[in-house]
Amino acid sequence: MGNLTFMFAAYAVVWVVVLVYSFSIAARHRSLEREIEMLKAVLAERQRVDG
Amino acid sequence: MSRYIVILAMLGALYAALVYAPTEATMGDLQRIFYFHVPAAWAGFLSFAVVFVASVQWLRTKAIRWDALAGSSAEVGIVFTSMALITGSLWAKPTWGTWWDWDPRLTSTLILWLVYVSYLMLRSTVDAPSKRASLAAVVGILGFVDVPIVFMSIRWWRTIHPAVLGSGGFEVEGSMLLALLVCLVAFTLLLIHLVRLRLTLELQRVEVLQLRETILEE
Repeated sequence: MGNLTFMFAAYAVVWVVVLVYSFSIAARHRSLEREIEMLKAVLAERQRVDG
Repeated sequence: MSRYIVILAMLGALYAALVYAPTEATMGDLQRIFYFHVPAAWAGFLSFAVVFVASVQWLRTKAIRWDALAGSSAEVGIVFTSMALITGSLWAKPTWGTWWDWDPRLTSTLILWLVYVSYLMLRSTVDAPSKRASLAAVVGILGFVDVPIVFMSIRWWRTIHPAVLGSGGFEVEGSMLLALLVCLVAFTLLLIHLVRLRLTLELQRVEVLQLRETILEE
């Protein structure tokens, strides 16, 4: 591999890591948001039934 | 802070590193790895400093947001330290002829990475939130001892790793220094952005646990 290949590989690693990590945070965020909504709905339903 | 500011800063860093900075006389374009390698290591150190402060604050106040900040910052710190290790290895192969050397700077950085990976593993294995936070805080405080060791390793021991900061300040000058500073600012903004995103996630996780407890209690 030439020097330019190593340089581009290093820059690509940084951008790929940042993008993958950002998408991973976004995916976990959506999943937790869904879970929070579901749990709030369960809680509201229980409170409605209990009067 | 808007994500657009961070994207602009990172694009500015890319321009500074690949276009603005002059080509180094000995290594040529390969030396441009420096402009992302050093800021990645800096952002890792800064993240672990936040873990240290947040861990102390957790032990003092027992406020859950400090524990959430410590856990979030440790994960982001591992991401940046991984970047520093990988880009360093990609720089080492054509320069030193090897992907890795058990040099004091490289070894102490790998130990730092392993300490905080263990920190996250510890957080995932203890269920009781308060016990987990206190145990993690102790590791977060003790683990930070390695940060000054990594920084000083090139002064304390014989090493093949070059120094960026000498006794008289930065070892680079002129447009190279300016490009480095632009990249340091961009990586710091990226770090703040990622920690904020990760902290939101951690606080959501706390909310989920509290909602589950409320449902179980009723």
